[in-house]
Amino acid sequence: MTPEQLHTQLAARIAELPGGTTVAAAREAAFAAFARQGFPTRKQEAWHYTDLKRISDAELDLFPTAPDAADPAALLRAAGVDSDAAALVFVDGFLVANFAAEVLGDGVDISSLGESLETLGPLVAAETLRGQPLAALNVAFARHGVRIGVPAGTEVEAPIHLLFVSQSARPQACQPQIAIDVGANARADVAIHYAGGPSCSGWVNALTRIALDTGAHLKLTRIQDYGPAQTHTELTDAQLAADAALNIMMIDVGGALVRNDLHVRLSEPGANCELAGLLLCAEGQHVDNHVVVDHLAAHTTSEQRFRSIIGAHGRGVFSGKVSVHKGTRAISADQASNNLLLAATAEINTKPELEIYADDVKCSHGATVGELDDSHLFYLRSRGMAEAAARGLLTLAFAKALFTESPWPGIDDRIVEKFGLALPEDIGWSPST
Amino acid sequence: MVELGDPNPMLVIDSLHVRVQDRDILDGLSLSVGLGEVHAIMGPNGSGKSTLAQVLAGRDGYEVTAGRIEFLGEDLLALTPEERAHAGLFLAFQYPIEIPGVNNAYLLKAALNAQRHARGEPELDAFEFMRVIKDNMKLMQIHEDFLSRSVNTGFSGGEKKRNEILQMLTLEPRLAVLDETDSGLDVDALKIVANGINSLRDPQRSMILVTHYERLLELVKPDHVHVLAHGKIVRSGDHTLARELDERGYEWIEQEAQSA
Ligand SMILES: Nc1ncnc2c1ncn2[C@@H]1O[C@H](COP(=O)(O)OP(=O)(O)OP(=O)(O)O)[C@@H](O)[C@H]1O
Ligand SMILES: [Mg+2]
Repeated sequence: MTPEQLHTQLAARIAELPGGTTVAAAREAAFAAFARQGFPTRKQEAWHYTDLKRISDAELDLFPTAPDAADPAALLRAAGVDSDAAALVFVDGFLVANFAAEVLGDGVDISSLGESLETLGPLVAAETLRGQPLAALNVAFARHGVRIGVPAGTEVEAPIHLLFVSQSARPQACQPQIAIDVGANARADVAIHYAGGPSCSGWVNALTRIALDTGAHLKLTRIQDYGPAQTHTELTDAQLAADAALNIMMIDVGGALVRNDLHVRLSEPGANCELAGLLLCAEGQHVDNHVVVDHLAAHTTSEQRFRSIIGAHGRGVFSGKVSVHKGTRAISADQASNNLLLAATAEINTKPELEIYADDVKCSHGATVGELDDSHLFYLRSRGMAEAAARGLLTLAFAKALFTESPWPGIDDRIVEKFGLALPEDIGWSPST
Repeated sequence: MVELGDPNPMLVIDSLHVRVQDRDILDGLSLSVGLGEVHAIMGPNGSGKSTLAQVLAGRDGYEVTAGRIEFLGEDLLALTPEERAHAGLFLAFQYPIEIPGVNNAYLLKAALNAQRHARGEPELDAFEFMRVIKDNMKLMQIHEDFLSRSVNTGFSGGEKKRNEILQMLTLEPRLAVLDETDSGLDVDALKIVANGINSLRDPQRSMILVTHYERLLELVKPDHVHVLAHGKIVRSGDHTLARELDERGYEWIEQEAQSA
């Protein structure tokens, strides 16, 4: 797909996209930004390990077709979401069920992307798209998605679940867009799920834009659990005002080629983010987590804790950049990347990057790459545990060291299935509870 | 003392040679332990006591270049570490391993059930398991909080040692090898550990206590005391040998052994 071909698709059907003329102008501007940069290539440092050719060489329809049928309750169940949760379900981009309003009432504004573009205009500022051609492409074509607005002072206890399911086997590309605005001293808990069947080999190019006002608090759990042929790229862009707190847990289970960009700007004093991720990668998968944290104000803190478990012929990438800008002080930034390789053919590329233009900065980073610890294995075996069960248990424990509470009911099973782990006979007791 | 081929032995080690990373550590060590006996092994730092313990438990990286070990009539060296545990061998580690993310109670229950399973005994459910370990925890004065923590993670030195004995009490081995379980314990903890060990003494069960201190041996009276130096047992005696070593150190024995 050349930019010209993509523009032909856009020009032919731009009238079908929501938002009227102002948004249409923003779409054209975003497309121009994409066209100037083109698809990222491995010549760019940020894309050194990840080749997008399977997308840029493919012929994909950027206007997905609506699903013939969908069973939202079954999809939620399969994604491990409670049936009475405040959930929105999207299939191939299209919103097929909205259970959020009845659960949450009027306290929270949850509007479809279409409605929001009509009433609010473009949801993503042009500057957010700088250096992000894929996000620019999303803005140009965005048709489906949601905006969550939490008014100042409102505490939303129930987690809001957004489930995006790929169902069609057509060669198509979805451009879901999510905007989360949390007002001053408000609190919200959002879970974004991406899932899909084994025959889905299309592309999902998501954009999640987060703005936290003064003292706002957002917990975001993002779970990617596609079938083995899906391509997924996303940019999560978050901006934090004074004393805002952002807590992210991202879990990657499936997909053939996955690239997650996470960009957090701590713009005002006291802003704090805790970013964590678990990446599971087996045969034929390539998953790349690319994290950038900008410390733009004094007294801002960030923590990155990313773990990966890579099986035979799996390939993982983690790059985590911390950038401390000039004129800031009293910054604290910690980063840890721990990687477990289960086979000689497993591969991980992990790269911390620190750019520090201020004094009075407390920074730490550490990366480990290795196999299971022999002494741990021996200890468990000396107590009578079979070697395979000891390996299974330790592999699970490695992942669980990230969590204080389970972020998703499906996690243990996915790890066990994915790597064919054995566990001690009586797995009734969860190792971390 | 028992010999190879003895009708009723627990453990027979015959002329064991062990190499670790191209260094010969054990050099023809022989030792026999009968049913119900408690043996103490003492000896200078670095003489190979932990090496012996690890070889008994089946740790990789310790190369047995010569010699045999029979455990309850079976060729011990042919067994995997878990098979040795199933056969009734238990090692209390000199440095118990911390395993973040693996719950202490989970380990105990999984280990106990793995062993019961291997012996063809029915597995215990959570309720039965709690009944089994409740008394043991009381005896070892381990608080219930420890069950829900990760194995040994963040435990103090003494807590780790008591946790090892809790495991031993729960698994009820035929042969327990305790590698310096008394090191680093305060006076009260030493008594607790000694009580735990004594509670398991039985005519069908044997123990090897590796220790540097006569203190433990006053609380757990051994049938035999051995001195390991330069990779072999250089002297054996009864419990009075421990007192003598406490007073005189090892030099005189090493000198006698060398001139012999
Ligand atoms: N894994 C290993 N790699 C290298 N050397 C080893 C290893 N294990 C043991 N050794 C060496 O073997 C020798 C015997 O060690 P061992 O731990 O058995 O001694 P010990 O008698 O238990 O001493 P201590 O009383 O200090 O516990 C030492 O010199 C030690 O450095
Ligand atoms: Mg030792």
